[in-house]
Amino acid sequence: MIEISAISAFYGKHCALDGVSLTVQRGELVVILGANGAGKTTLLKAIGGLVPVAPGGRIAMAGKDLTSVPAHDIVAAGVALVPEGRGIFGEMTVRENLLLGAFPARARTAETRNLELVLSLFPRLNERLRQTVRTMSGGEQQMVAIGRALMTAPDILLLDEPSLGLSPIMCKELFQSLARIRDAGLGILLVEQNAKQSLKIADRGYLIESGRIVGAGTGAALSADPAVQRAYLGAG
Amino acid sequence: MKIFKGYAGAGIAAVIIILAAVPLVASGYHLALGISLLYFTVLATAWALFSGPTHYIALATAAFFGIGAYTTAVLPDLLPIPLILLIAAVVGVLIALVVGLSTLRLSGIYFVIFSFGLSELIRQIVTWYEVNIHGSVGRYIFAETTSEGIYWRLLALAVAVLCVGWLIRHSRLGLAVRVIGQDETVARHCGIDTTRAKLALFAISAAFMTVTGAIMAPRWTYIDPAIAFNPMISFEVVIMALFGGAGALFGPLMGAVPLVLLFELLIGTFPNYFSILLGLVFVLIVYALPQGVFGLLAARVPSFGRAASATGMSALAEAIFGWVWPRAGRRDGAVDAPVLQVAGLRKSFGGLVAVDNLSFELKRGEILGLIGPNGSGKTTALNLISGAILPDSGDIRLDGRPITRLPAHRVAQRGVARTFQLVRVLGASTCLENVIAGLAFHSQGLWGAAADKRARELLTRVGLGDKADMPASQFTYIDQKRLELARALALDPDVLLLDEWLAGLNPSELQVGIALVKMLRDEGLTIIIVEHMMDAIRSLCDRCVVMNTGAKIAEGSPAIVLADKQVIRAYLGDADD
Repeated sequence: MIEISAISAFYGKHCALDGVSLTVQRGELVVILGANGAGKTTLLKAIGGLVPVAPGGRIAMAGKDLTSVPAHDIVAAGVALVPEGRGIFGEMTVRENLLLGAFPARARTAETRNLELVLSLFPRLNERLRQTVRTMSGGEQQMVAIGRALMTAPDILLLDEPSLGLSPIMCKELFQSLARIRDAGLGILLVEQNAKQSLKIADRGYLIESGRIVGAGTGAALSADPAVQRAYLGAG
Repeated sequence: MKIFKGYAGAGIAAVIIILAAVPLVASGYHLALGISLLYFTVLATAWALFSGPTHYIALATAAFFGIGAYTTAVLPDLLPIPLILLIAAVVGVLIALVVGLSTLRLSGIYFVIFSFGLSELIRQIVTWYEVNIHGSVGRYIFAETTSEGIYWRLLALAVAVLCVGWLIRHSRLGLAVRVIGQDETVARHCGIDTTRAKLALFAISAAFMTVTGAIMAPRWTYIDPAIAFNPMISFEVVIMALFGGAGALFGPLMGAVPLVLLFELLIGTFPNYFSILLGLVFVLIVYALPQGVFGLLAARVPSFGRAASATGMSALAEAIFGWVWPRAGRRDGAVDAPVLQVAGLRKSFGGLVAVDNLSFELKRGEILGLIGPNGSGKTTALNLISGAILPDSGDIRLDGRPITRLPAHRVAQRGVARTFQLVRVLGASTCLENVIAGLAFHSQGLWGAAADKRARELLTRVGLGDKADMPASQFTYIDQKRLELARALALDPDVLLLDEWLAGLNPSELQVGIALVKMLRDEGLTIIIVEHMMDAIRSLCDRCVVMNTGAKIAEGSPAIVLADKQVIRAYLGDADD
């Protein structure tokens, strides 16, 4: 579905991403593991068109080239990003935030159906549709951010630490929801610190270190991989 | 004075002497041009004193300029000029204080519009007074003065405004407004009285504008409100300051000089199209030079880009502008009472009760975990304690004394420091300045070399010792978290509030983070942590308070509350984690 080959990204002279290649298929949940500063967020931003990709790399969605395409066209091609730090519109209501997600042409016809889907995933939002998002708690804002990305009717969902700020019970429910979204046929690329839970539901995973992919495998294999234990979970 | 060092000092002195000699050779048109250059330089520099660091775009220049002009017109012609200028400055400061108190709580576009409306309001009041009380619209000014005199007075004022600007940038007042401009919430929680800082700067800036008006008035011989309160002045000054670079001391000068010359050229060559061409120039400036002339130079010449920083503070500057900061309330030593007592705290937003009758106590040296489902009111509780918002009812005591209704900066000065759920560092400042912002404004505030030394110690303590001089914007997530912690520790807090400080750390970083918090507890700090990381809660907390829908549902050791049926149902869910 989405194919990323040898993309690099720089902040000034600092190389944050160094020739990363990976794929995510429809109906597949792929997790990216790695320490803070390893380049995970940069990878998602590069795919989403928020960070320029250095020459030589290529991003393609179902064969269509998405390298150096403006961010809104990437959303229109079916790739939605839930950024770190949420990026919700604080002065608008929950409903307005969600409906804004359905702005791309591809999402408009399915707006009502997607809204139902989002509200069934996050029943809390259903109770709060008319609340101004700024006045909601951190975790609830996180739900709005994920919901808005789903409203764009994506084929591929990019999630940057969606569990940040969620309580244990919400966190569990979130991971169950992600598994359901995957089962519904979406591809998910997930950056997550919660290694245990994310590997439990992941089909595959990549381990990233200093901007490079240093390991790959199925969720189960990575859970057991001593290299992951060492690099990510800490020695011992 | 250390302002003028070596060659640079000699150069500046030479420039001033040459400029002062201009009226001896120039006259007529050239002297008039010199006066224009000087008075716009003063206005733009004065405007940028306040609007540059705070990013509050004020359109009230014309109001203060006009007030100055009218002060000269109203006062008897026989008064000595220095006295007239002094009176003008005092009038300007007084009006700025009244206006500032009512408007500086506005922000963004509201402040812009209000400041513009203010100019119109003052013009209308003056017109009304002139017509109905004084019985005429305009006034003649017969003050005995010459163009040369006006030129010299403006030159002296220009030197004065630049000196004052330099001093402010090297005082705590300058640091305070740099922090305010980046993040007003952070500023308040660093103990900065943001209202006082903004008001002081607004008044200083207004004083220079009023005096400019007072100096310029005799040039017109006759003034009426339309001349004195010409709104174009407000806009031109903004454009000049932005064109030059409002963030730098000499930026407005670099904008005023070329633009005054350009306006002169346009008005001379295309008098009928002046406004249209002016509009085009404004648009071009915004597109081509968003950072201003100064930004362009700074990108080419690194030494230009060295912004004023908290480490280069001058004792003289602090002695001059120290009056802005009242002596912060002294903290008494340990009392035989819980460090923090929260009783019957309640806060509702509209119909939603976010915190409902919350009570707990915090003993010295303990770590209390505040946990609960999303939306249960944990962050609101922290906001109430830190003074970010005021409770509807209830009582909060620090060392036995009430802090319930104190504003955030006073709570911070009393010794309650916090971090934020979404990490908030001052991206445009260096790592060091972020920490000094926390050091400079509490009851035993430090600045200058002492602050520099202490800030480096704190940075080493959180593991950022080698990154002190990096811009905070380049930090990775965990380093931003460390920096935010160092800034909170800089307040020398009795109580530290950590709002999901460990969130977003991976398992190995989490171990580092937990070790850091443990170290702080061992040093005797009292801490409240809001956290969802159960590993962290178990290994750090002596006690937990569990909240659900705003109310406390359980309290006790982590082992006990995490086994509580109600807590499991509301918060943990079944199965393991």
